[in-house]
Amino acid sequence: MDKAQNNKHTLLPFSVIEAATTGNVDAINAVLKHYEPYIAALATRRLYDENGVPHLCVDDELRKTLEIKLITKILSFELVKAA
Amino acid sequence: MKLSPSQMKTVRHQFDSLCRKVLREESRNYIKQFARRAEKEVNLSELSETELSQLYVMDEYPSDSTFFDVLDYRVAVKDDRLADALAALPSKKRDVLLLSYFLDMSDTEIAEKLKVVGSTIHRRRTSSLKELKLRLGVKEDGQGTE
Repeated sequence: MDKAQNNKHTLLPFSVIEAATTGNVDAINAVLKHYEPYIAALATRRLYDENGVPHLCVDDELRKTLEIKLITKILSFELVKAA
Repeated sequence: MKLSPSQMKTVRHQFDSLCRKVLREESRNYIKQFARRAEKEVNLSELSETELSQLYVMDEYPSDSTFFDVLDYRVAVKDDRLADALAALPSKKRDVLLLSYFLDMSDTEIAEKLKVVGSTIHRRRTSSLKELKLRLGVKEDGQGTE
């Protein structure tokens, strides 16, 4: 998965997108995997402990919320908008 | 439905931008919601006494109070000391106190109900308050009238 290293500029293959929109579980997992770093970055929150020292930690609830939202949006994605 | 390679590329870009947009906006929503909630939330330990007292209700049981029958009314007295002192008073005097302080009646009303003259009510009240004060051993002024 060296693609994941630099996936800011990589795009998912068309075949995966096509399969994911029709509900293929493996394809959806591949999409989630592809956006995993981005989701982790978005879900990272700065928390402060009792001494006021900031800690970065991943908010699991937010991470799951994002994943679920992404899945629902993948399923409603239309390959050809004009349809 | 067959797409040309350039159309496929477009779709891939559209899909990518959609996914990023969805994730970005959803996380923004979540954080905004969090902030909105944080504005309203208060630490339980930081609540003031009055706010805390709004959070619970004490049950009131009939067995906690003493009842006195006056005319057609039934008056509940919660304070035990006061109830004892009231019970020790002669019933005519007690009626005047109960009617005026617990049922908020004016002297005229009480006089009408008890079928006596207004000055009698006044006299009974003054003397029974004095007696009550004595029984309760009240030191500060005015406490006995409660």
